[in-house]
Amino acid sequence: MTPGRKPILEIRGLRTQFFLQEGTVTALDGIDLTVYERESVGIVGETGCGKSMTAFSILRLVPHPGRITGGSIQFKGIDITKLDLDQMRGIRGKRISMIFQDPSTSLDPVFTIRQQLGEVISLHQNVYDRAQLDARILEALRLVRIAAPESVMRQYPHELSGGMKQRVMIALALSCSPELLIADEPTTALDVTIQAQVLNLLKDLIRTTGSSMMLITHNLGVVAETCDRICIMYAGRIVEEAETFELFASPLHPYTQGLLAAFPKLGEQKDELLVIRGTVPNLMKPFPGCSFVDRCDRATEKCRSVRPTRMEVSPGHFVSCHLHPSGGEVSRV
Amino acid sequence: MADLISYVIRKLLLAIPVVILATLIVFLLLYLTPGDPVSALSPPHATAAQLDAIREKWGLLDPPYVQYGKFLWRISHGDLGTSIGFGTRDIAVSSLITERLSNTLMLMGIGLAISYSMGIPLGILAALRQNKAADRVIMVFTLVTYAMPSFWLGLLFLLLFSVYLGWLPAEGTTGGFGSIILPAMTLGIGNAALTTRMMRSSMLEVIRMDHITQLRSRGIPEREVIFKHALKNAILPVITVIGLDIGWFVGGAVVVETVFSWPGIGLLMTRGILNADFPVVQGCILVMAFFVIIGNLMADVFYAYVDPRVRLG
Amino acid sequence: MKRMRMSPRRMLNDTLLSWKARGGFRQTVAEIIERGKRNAMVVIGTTIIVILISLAILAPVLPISDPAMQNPNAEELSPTWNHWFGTDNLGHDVFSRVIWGARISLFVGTVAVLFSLLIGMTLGLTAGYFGGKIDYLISGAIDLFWTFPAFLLALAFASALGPSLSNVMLAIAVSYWAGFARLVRGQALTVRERQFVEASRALGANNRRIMFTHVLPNCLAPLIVWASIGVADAITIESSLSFLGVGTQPPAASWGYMLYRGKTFIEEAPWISVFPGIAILIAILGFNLLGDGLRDVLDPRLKGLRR
Repeated sequence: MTPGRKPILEIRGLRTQFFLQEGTVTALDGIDLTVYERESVGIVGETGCGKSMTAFSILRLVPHPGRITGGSIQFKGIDITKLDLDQMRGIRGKRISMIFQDPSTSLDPVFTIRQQLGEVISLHQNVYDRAQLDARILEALRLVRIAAPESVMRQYPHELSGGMKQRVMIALALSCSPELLIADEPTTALDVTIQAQVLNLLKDLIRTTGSSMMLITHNLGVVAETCDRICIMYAGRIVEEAETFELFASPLHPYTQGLLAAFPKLGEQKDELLVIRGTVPNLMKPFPGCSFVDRCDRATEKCRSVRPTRMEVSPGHFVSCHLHPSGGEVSRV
Repeated sequence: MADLISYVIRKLLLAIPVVILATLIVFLLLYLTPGDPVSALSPPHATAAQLDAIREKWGLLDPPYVQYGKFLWRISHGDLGTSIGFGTRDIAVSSLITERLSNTLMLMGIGLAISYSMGIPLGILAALRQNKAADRVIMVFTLVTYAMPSFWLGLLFLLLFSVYLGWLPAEGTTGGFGSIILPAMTLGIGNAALTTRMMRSSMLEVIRMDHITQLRSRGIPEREVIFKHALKNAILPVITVIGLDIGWFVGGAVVVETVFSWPGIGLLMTRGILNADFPVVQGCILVMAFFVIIGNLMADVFYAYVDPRVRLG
Repeated sequence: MKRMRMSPRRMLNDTLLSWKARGGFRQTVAEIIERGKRNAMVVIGTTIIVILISLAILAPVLPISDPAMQNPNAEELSPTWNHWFGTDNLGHDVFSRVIWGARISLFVGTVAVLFSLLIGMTLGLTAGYFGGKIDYLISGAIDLFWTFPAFLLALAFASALGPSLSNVMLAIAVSYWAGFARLVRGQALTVRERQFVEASRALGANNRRIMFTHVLPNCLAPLIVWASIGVADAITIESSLSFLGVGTQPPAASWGYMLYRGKTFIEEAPWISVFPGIAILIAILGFNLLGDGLRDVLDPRLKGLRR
């Protein structure tokens, strides 16, 4: 981590809960996360661990019956949890944008690409002249390397392939040069061959626009390629955070170690794939200790009753685990 | 646009067998009547000579497929036979129908307008205020109105507005706007219940969809998210049933015209039934069947125009 | 009369899966009854239906006047203590006629729907079982009858056949079968698809029995929903047809027929029409509520909130 870079997003103690008939689900249980300018942070975890909910919480799009119940999200000095919806709308799409997972369901099927891009551009950039708008639309489409932008413009989403649709999504998200781009599983719904293209596109684009990116995925391979730092999430909490190389070289949290071990690597001989035993805990039941305790091979009694605090074990490398109490205080960076 | 045209052509071609089947069924209706088909086609107290003449005229002695062929020939030239009913004897059925056609179309048109202008906003409102007071009231309203057969709703309106309040005329076209409003309202409100429910459930589904959340994440104002995007998506399933609605309206028109003595095709048919005037009844059924088929066709085309995904199908 | 789109295929699949998961037929029925009890619509609907049917069955033994008895001295009386619903132009007691009318209207409604169900089930099974050209033909017919308003069809048939109780039932049965056929055919196709997977194990002659033992029980739930709503529709159609003069005739005086007669006196004696009308409304409401409520109960997506 380069010192001197300013943080653009600082999440502290974020808690998001869903109030259902059957009980209250704590999707996010006190998340601490920072994103600096011009960096890519990866958020990795299995399905249901809360990574998408982090993204939705940042944009205040948490669906009913959920809401943010605690913590703060500072975006360049403004606490966006305290903004009203009008102010929030000024941020959405313009300063923070989001790409959703499945491009097939994320584009409005009854409007053309031109209409959808035009809507966003004219809204945030106050462009109303038709010709100018079209020019900007074409520009945006070329930016995401779409080959025949004039004809794509006039098409409907269902007429495009998955990869093209995802590029359109990226165009929509980056058209107004946001400071932060959140990409929620941007390649999961795509063919493997297209995945690489889209990831490279993303990397290049954010470098050009100078945005930061928060990349959410369950795929460690994807973050290894694209991200400067990685956070590992489990059951609504961030359990480890480090720079990419550091994380892969010396994973500290048992969950991280399990994830990395489960990943078959090319050239390695394996008889069986390693599996982390057990299943994700029920987020409706509050648990006082570490959320990973039932699946951890090295759990102790303390792990069951005391929640581990976030410790900086080495510069830039944070872990929440009783096995690594060294490093002193919770460091707030 | 080209795909829309090919879609229209395909639909037209598919409609042809439907039309033929409809004419076949209408043709066969004659043979469903009790007794000798001739008696359905002759005035009461006809002499044997008259009966023979009628048999001759309608070709009842020909083999069935010849009869059907002649039937098709006749109707394609607009000849729907002559009335044998009291008061309209010997008048061509087609002229009886054409003079009333516009009345029925007017009634159906206004009824449709009322139904949709009530149903769609109410459905949206119910969806946006799901499970709150407005929603529950609207749901109860739809439940009750849906359970009312058109003729009863019509009679109720008749009682209320004509008999007791004396605001509106009870029958005929004499009152201008006043006389069409009650029958149109009856039709409109009767169908509004279904429209409301469909709109509501469609809207509820759409606002939970990913692309709506995506739109919000782009900073689009909520009003546009709902009324520009969600609405356009949600209205599609409602439009798919316009064709069925039209069918319902045609049937409903028969009933409502009878209640209010509105001089349209429906009333003509009812009077024809009472007068045992089979040619008139048959003619009306045929015309109404065409209405339904054409209505469905127009609705399909309109739907393809609005939802581009359908044109491929 | 048209119905709401309830995506029968999806409902069928869901029902099938959830039944398997819940361990079979008997238990599922018990579960349905349990959930049904908690659903307001089902409770109210069933109550109404039970009351109506009881009244209809018990009509002969109830202490009410003879519905056919004409009393020239008591013509067109407004509702009084002696005649709760008043009398009509011939002196009949309207209250009594409404109760006796229940017998006709309910009878026609249920029997017509039953016939319709039989026709639909037969055609649906045939189409699903044989496939190929037969299926093509039958599905074509299903599409046709499905999109055409049942009321118009029934009107056409009834006007040709002439007014009578049996003709009305026939007319309705022939007009309403498409919905049932669709349901059954869809389920038959699903079963058949899976059968082909097992066909390689040469099950041969068992096919037919499997069709019946698998298809019908799994259709049962949506069929009951549809049938309940169907009775409501049938009552609507029958009363409308009777109102137009092509329905039931005396001595089988249904509610619709009473309105047919009553219309001429709407100004001076509205009660002749109003009370049978209310009865029709209540009957339709009851069956609709039951059907809608059951549909909610059987749809597995009901529980909790999604997402």
